[in-house]
Amino acid sequence: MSKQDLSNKSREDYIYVNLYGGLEEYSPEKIRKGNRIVLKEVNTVQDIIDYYQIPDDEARVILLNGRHVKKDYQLSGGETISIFPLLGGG
Amino acid sequence: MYGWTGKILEISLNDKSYQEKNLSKSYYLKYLGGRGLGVRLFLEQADPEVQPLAAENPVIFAAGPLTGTVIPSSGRLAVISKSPQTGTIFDSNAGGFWGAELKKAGYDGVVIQGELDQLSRLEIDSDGVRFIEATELKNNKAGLTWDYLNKTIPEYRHIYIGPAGENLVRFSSITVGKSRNFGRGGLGSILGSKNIKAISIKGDKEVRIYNQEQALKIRDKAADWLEENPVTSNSMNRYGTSILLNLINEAGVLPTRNFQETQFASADKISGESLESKTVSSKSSCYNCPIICSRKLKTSDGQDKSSPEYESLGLLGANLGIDDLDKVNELNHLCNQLGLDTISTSSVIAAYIEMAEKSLIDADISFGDGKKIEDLINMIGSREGIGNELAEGAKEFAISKGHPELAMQVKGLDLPAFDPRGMKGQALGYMTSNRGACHIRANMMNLEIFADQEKIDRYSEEGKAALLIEQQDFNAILDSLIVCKFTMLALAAGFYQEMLESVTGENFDGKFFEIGSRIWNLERMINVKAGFNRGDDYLPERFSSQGGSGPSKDSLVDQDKLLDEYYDLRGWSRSGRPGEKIIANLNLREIAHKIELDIQ
Repeated sequence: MSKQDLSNKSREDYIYVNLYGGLEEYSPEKIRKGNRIVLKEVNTVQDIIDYYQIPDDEARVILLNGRHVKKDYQLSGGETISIFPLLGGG
Repeated sequence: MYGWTGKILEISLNDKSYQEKNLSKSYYLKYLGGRGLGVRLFLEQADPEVQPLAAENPVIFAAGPLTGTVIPSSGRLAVISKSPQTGTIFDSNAGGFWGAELKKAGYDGVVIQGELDQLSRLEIDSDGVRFIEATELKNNKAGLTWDYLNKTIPEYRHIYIGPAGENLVRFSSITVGKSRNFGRGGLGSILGSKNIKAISIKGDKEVRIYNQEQALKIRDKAADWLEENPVTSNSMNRYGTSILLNLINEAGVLPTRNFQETQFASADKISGESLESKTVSSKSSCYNCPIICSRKLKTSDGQDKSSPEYESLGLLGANLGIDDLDKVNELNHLCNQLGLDTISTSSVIAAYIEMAEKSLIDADISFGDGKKIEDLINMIGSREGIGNELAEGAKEFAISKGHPELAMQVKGLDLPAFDPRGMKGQALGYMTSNRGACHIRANMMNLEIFADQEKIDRYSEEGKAALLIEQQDFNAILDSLIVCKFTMLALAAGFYQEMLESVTGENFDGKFFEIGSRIWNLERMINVKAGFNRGDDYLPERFSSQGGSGPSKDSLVDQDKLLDEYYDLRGWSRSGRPGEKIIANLNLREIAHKIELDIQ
């Protein structure tokens, strides 16, 4: 986080992204939590999916603060979006 | 007959006798096999009021018409009895190879009644049944028992109990093969009460199939669909069920610290993704299954240790406040070795710790204390010290301490690792399941988390009863065919009828789906006769008065609204009794009369 702290950007200038269930392979750092994108790069959840080049049918459940959102959800900055593939079990 | 063998084996332990019995086709057409047939056969042997640990309570192992055939994922087996944990009719279902071997031995089921005077094991093969003293196996854990059986009679398939079953722990399991389990309901203690340590079986017959060519075509089609679906072809094999944990946590439905919270800050540390690097595929754990969902831990000491399922990660981890994955793996292994249901083990310990933290009892333990929790699990398995009280299960323990509200259970069966506040269909599923709080009677998670939220709002009670009933009835069919439920992720409901017809040659047009409803109502009738009513269909008060965490912060379950709608749609009275019309429609009148059930 030190780079972020040194810049004059605030939390709202980024979108924070969690990629789970194998989707972390699309993260440049191969990490699940702590991915972030500068807000001006993306307008919607779909843009995040495209940004990480996640095949569309692999991004199956998208949560914002634990609530389901759709791929056309308009981002305003500072949100944490979690993306999951289709999973099953129990 | 095709698919079915048409025969069951009845074993009387009191005089060490046995006999083969032919069953009329109507049993099969009405109840299929597995769970349905087992529940029906239970009534041939005992009254609904029978005491679970009494010698007269039968324990029934039943396969289905598809078991042991070319149909994929058809290696499962059902065990049916009256549960010492719930007092309800109970069936549990496990994978492995024993079910297919039972069919090859020429039986659709084995019915066991009575009790032996010393710890013994049974061998079943074409020469009949042998009763073999096994006192040297007393208190042997699962690994040792497996090693002994596998060395002594390697050509047989085995089921067996651990020390917990011998010690009549009310939530003790039965192990199938090396590592699968009949986890829930404490049916291990039924074998323990009958002095049966293990049952081994070997068959030498083929299961007859009506239309082999058609069955093979269906097999290929099913295999293609299972391969095309990302969950059944990849995710299940790569991660197993454990992959759900991060999703369930973020969705605010991960039971944490005895369901006091529904998100766990360290969830990712105990997630399926974190677990993956520590495990390898078990390669083949169930008969004829391409999904291969089970995994085992990489170990340096050469010991075989199963990787925890989602339920065990969630409940031995978050629900006990433990974020050390290696510790969770150890506790899971310990439960497997002792023969304990991980869900109920977590539940009773979580209730104990909550009481301790609130100073309601005098005990020095906190959530997250892995060492003390491990000690408690050992004490439960051997019924030593406080373990003897905890071995009665969360419900009985909490009642004995004057705090029944702290046991997270319905009908004595502890809630699995999906908090009901953030999934109202799942909530109703727990409330109305005939075996107590259970997610696999109808796992509404699949609909409520993965469906389009504009169509199914997981926080709403609206319309959930109808969706749930459909799932409950269909799952009863799968439990009776028997085909693994994970296939549902890839296969359409009508396809299972095609499977059944190709194997048996019987026509189920217009009759297939009502079988599930018949089984469900029969189970409910047995429970009603045993004294269960609406009052037993409620979740602990916590879920209706105290919100969860994150997105579930303000969500409470409106239990009466859910129940009223459910009973109405089922054709039951508002007190939860199946009505005359539904009993007649499902051809259950004769049974209602047999068990002297009052019908309004």
